[in-house]
Amino acid sequence: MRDKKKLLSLMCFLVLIGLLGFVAIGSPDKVMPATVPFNAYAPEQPIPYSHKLHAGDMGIECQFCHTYARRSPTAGIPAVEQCMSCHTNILPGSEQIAKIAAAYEKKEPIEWVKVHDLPDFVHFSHKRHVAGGKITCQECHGPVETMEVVYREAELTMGWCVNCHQQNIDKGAALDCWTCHK
Amino acid sequence: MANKIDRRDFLALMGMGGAAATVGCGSAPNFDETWKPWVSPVAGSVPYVPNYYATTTHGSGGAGLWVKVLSGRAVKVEGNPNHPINAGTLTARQQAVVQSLYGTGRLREPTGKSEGTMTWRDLDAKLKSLFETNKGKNIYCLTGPVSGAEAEIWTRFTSEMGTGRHVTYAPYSESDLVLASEKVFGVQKVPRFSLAGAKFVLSLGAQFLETWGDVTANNRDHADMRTVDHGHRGVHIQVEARVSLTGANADEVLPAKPGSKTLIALALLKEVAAHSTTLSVADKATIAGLTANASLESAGEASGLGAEKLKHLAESLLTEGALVLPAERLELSGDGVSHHAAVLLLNKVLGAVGKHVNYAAGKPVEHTSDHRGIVDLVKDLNDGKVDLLLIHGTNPAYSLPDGLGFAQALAKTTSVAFADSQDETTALANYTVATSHDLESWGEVNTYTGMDMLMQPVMTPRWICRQAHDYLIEALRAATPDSLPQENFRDYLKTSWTTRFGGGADPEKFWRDSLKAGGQFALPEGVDLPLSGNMGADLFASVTESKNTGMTLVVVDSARFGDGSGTDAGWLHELPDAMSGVVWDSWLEMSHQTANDLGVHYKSGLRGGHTQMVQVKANGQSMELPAFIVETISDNLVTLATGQGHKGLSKLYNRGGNAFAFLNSDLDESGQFGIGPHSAELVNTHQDYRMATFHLPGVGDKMVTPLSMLEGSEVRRDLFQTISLASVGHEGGDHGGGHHEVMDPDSTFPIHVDKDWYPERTDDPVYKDRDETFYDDYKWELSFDLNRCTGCGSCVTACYAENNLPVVGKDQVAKGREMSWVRINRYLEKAEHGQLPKVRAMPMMCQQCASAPCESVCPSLATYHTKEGLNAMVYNRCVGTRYCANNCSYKVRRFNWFSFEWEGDLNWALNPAVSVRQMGVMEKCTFCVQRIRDGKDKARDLGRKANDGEIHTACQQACPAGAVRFGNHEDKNSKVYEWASDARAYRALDSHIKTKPGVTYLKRVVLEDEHHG
Repeated sequence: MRDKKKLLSLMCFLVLIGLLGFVAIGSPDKVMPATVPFNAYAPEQPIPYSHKLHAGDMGIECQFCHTYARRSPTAGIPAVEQCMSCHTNILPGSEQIAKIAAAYEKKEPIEWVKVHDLPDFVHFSHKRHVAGGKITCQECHGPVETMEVVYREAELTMGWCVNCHQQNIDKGAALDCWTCHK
Repeated sequence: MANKIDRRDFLALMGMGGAAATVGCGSAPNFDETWKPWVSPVAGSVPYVPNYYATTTHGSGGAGLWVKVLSGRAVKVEGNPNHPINAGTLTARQQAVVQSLYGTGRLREPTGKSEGTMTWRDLDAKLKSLFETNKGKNIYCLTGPVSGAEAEIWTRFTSEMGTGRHVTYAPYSESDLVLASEKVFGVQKVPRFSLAGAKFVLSLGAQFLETWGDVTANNRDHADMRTVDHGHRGVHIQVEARVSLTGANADEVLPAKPGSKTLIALALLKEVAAHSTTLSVADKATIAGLTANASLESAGEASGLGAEKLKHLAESLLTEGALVLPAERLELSGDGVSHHAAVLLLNKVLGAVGKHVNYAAGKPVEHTSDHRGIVDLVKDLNDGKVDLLLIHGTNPAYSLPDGLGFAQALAKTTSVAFADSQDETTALANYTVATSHDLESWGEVNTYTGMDMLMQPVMTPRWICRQAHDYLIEALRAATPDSLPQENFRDYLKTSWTTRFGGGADPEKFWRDSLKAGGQFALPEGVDLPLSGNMGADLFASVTESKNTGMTLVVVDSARFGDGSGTDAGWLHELPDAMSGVVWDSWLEMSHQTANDLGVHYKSGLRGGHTQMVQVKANGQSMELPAFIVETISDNLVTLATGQGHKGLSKLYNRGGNAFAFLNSDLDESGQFGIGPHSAELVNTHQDYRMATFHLPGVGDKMVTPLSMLEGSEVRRDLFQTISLASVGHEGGDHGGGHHEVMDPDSTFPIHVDKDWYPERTDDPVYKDRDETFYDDYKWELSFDLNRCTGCGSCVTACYAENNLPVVGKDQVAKGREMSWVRINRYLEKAEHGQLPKVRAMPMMCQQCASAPCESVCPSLATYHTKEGLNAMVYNRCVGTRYCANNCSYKVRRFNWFSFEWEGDLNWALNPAVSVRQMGVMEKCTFCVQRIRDGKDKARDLGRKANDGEIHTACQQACPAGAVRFGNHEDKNSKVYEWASDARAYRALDSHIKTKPGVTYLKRVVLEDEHHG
């Protein structure tokens, strides 16, 4: 830079761009609990289910509810009936539980927002990763048992997946494109 | 800014600014997609893991189906491997049933002619009032042919509710064969014809590889017959003046004039009976008496084949393992009973009764129907004798002859049609009740003795509806309380089934086991039968030579459309007709000579062309159809295929001409409407019409290349190769490399040079510095035995179903933009003088070349070679340059010129394991990589590699002839290796362009050397 004036305008310009960048990323719509890192993807769910309470404090196993993880490409989200199996008697009067009971009565499913979602052209099989118990859920999904509101810790970009595959070829991880691109 | 900023600083600023702005974007985008889990989980249902249910449908003729169901939706229809007849395979037509399940023609609500759309409550009230008002009066029921519990409930309803009748009607009737069987053997059954174990098959016209009899079993048995065993194989002769697909697969086609088939049968019968060494003296005398007026000379003259040829045929018939099949009944107008009787007698003389003509397994006459019922019904309607008419499972308004006046008669009563999709009959009925589709219903389809197929719903009905039989039961219970213990048809069927077949100690378990199996399959073995002794001396008295000497119209049975039912399916319209290649239209097939005489000129385009509409007048009817010129039809003959010309389906499928217009309106001796052949008058309207057709007539058909049409230098295409029977086993030196002949130096192809542009991939490292090499675990290969393949196109439809292929429609096919990953290449051999040309069909799909011309030219590396030998296609890398398709020597790459929509609910049948491609993306056969992935996944669960036979491609699974093998070429014990290393094996064009395809073809075995070299 030639002179101070130019340097000053440059610094102002950069700060402006940087601020714009932050604005572009966006500010959260609501105040997140302390457990959610800044700007992590934590969509609002129809019912504020707390994994911290159920999986953390009460110690319920992941696959007790996400039961298809060991036998299907998808881990699944539990049916309303599974929630009701406990909540018919536990806190039935609470405002949030009443929503579940109402859904069960009306035979309507609860529309959960997917925190971990892949594009339609990607084939990812939970079964292949979960089988044998070599990879824990937390390795990809983060410390879910500490999450009040579930946020996405994993990048879920292709590079992120391929990275782990490259390091685990000896364990059978495939690097062929057609393993995942269907 | 006061001072001017210089260029470098500007660029530096922009670069840093851009970097700053993108600093936060390091993760994947958020889609905000929702997931709706079940309210109550369904036991046994795991998301994305399919369940298979055994069932059948009426339209499939009682074929064994395994329907793949994902999360409560039927996704694909596959064959039941345990079914003795189709054995896990299906024809294209049988596979298309899933399209009518989800099509736009599905009825959702009940309607009334004057009421319009009704609520279910109103309909129930209406039906209740109709049944109450007409109780005890003439309540008639008109259904398709029914059996078992279905027949029971219709009969019971009709007899208990009133004094009407239960009438069955189907466009195709086998009453002529039943009556012939009764006359000849005293048995009122339709015998089961089976080619299994036959050595010489003479078909007088039956298209047994496409439409006649048990098509899937016939394909399999025919292919087995063609297998070379110690220098011999079975022989098939077809007698027809228009080469059908069946004729294309025969060793010889004898172009007999239409209308002469029965004369030929009688002449042959006389000859073989006289020379038979096994026939009893009494039988010989009986037959000699019956065939006194027949002679080889007169038959030879009437047919145009000559006495010499027929004598030769008779001699071949007297060899062991001979079987004679009748002509198609569509060309036996009036002659049906005599013709079938002659054929039955021929088979008796040849010792085929019991072995190939099985009466023990025969269809009882109750499972068939003739047309007398519908004629009487129309009479009763016209006489005002019908108070209420219920219609189910049949579409008489489409397939009855106009002369019968069904539509007018129907208006004289109150009619209620029960149907799952709209058609011509529902358009006429007073009330239409939307019912569940066959795949959503309970039922029973019993065909042969010992074959009782159960139909069960494989999913909850798409629309809120019941099946027709439930209404019958409800009405019966309302009319007479306590008369029927069951409340719905499922319970009724279960009781009927367990009563008839005995549940044993645990009827519940027996019922569940029956459902799981798909029914009861116990085909009895055939036995020889004695002649009945009361054939009557005038059995063949009515057989005369056809008086028609000029142009003749013959209606041919369509393999894709059949009798016109279930044709609201895009797959069937887009599948090219096997012989002509026409898509999405009806056509009048004619020879060059006929076209010249009419002044018809066909102007060829890429995948279609322009022709003129020709008016054909026959049997008092007239129709305008686009003329289509083929090389495979005799002069003086035009043909029209059945099944199109609908007016009542959903709009897209109402096209073409209805061949049933040419039905005779009076019944023949056995009680059915005959259809021809008719003498025809043709008039060229000179009206232009655009056709879409798969084959490039005149150019793309030829086995010789178009580039070397010079006299004396005909270079044969190497794509389809044949080998003479005499050479099989003595090939020596010709191992999988194709032709090694030295070709004409003036021709376009270079002399075979060992020029290898790419090194062998085996032991080639997949990635630099890594241990993996190519083909370590698997090298996937396909193998097609062209000796077994008939070109039916069942594989094409299976691929459409499995891989989410869009149906593009007529206009796009005409531009060459069809999306079929596997297509049937059809070639014509040059015809010898006076003969029709030989037709060759081979499936062509991505050859997964090891030295692929397409892989190296992709600018975005969207396509590459996997270490398992597949040419992979990564859709989201593809930018749509289309350079790969340009380079492909086999032209098997398909480009998505549009993003296609699936109409109606057809997207429910999409396979989630395969991406749905967007506009701008190239696609091609993947060897069903999703099935390979699934097979390896299942094997990994068991801690091992996939074994041979665990992974089947969709085309392999569907092929009725068993012409496809798929597997790991590295496994020397695999089935695919066996074929790939067969002496007959070659790789398409490999000797010329060294692409090293992963597909082998086995040369078709022909009787004589057809070309030299």
